[in-house]
Amino acid sequence: MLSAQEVEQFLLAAAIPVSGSAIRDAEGDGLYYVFVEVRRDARGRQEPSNTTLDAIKALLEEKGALVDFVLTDGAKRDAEAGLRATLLHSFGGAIRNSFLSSETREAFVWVVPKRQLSDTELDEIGAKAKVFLDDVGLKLGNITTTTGENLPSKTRCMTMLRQVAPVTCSQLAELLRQREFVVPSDDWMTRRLDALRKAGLVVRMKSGFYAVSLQALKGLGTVKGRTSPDVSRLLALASTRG
Amino acid sequence: MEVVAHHLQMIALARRNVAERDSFGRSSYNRYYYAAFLCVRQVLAQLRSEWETLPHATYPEVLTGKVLKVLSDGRKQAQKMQDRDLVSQCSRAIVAARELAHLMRKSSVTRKVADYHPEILVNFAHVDRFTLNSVDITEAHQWPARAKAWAREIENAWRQVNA
Repeated sequence: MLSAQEVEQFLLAAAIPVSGSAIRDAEGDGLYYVFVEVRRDARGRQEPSNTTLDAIKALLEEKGALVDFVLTDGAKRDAEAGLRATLLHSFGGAIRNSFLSSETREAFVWVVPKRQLSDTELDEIGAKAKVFLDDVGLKLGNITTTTGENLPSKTRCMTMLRQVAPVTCSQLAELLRQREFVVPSDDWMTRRLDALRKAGLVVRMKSGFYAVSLQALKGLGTVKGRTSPDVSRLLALASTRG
Repeated sequence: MEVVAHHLQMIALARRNVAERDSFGRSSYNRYYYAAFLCVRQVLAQLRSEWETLPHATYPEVLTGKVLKVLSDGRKQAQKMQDRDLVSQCSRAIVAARELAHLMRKSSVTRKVADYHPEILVNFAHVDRFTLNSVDITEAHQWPARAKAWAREIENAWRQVNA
C-alpha cells in the first residue's frame, strides 16, 4: 500500500498543485484525501481540469490508492474576502458578514444583516457589490440577505390551493402559515390571489371561496406515486369532508 | 459550539507553549466542524426524517443528489409557471446546496487532520491567525455561519417546491 507521502509525491510529479499534506483516512482502507489548489485560466476554465484529475485518480487507483480530491480555489477566496471588506467598509452599520459563490462567472452574494434592511438599502449594497465584482471579472447574478422571510411564492400558493380548494383567503393564509411560511397579513394574501386571478390562474367564486383554474391545473401538472398532488388532494378531501 | 471553537482559537493564539497551542489550535477546527455539521443535520432532518441518522460522509452526496434533484425539478416547474421569484429562489438554493456540499467535505477532511494526524502541526506563522494543512482558521471560523445561511436557503426553497 502507498503511504500518504508517496501519494503526494506522485501527484506533485504529475504537476498537481497539492495544498497541505495528503492524508490517509483513519477508517477507510487505502482512502486518501488531498487538497488541490485550483486556478482559473484566462477563459475561466479550471486548472487542473476535472478530466486531468480523474485521469490521475484512475492511475493511483491502479496502484491501490483511492484518492478523494477536495478542491480549493484561492482566487475565489480572495474575491470573497475583497467583497466582504468592501461591503463592511461601506455598510458596516447594517451588515455583519457576506458570502460569495462564484462557481461560474455568475456570482451569488449573501449578506448577513445586523438589522432588517429596506429594499433601497439592499439595492445600494447590490450596486456596490456589482462594481467590485465587475472589477474581478464576475457578474452579479443574485444578492440576498440570509434572514429574508420565506413568503409563499405564487406557485406555492397555487399548489396549496389546489390541494384544499375551495377555501377563503384567510383559510389559505392560515394553512400556509402552518407550513412555516410568512404570510404578512390577510390583505397581502388577498392581493396575491387577486394578481393570480387576473393572470387567469385562480378563480374567485361568488361565495368568496377561491379555487385554481383549469389553466393553472394544466400548468402545475402532476406526478405519479406517493407524492402525487392528486393523492394529496384526495386525502385532503377525505379529512375535511369525511 | 461556535463559541467554544472561537474560545479555543483565542487560547491557541495566546499560549506560548508549543505543544499546548497546537492542541488548542487543532481542537478549534474540530469544534468549528461540528458546529457546522449539527446545523446542516438539523435542517436536513426537517426536510426528511431519515436524513437525521446519516453517516457524516454521506451528507455531501445527499446535498448534491436528492436535494439538488428536488430543487432543480422545482425550478423547472417555476419556469413553466413563469414564477420569476421562485425561479430565482431555487437558483440560489441550488448554488447553496453545491457550496454546502463542498463545505462539508472540506471541513470534514480538515477535522480528520485535526483529530487523527498530530504529525501535521498547526502552523503559527502569523501573529493573529494560524493554519492547519493550509486551511486558515479564519476560514474555519466562517464554516458555521455559512452552513447556517446556506442550509436556510435550501430549507426555504424546499418548502416552496416540495408540496
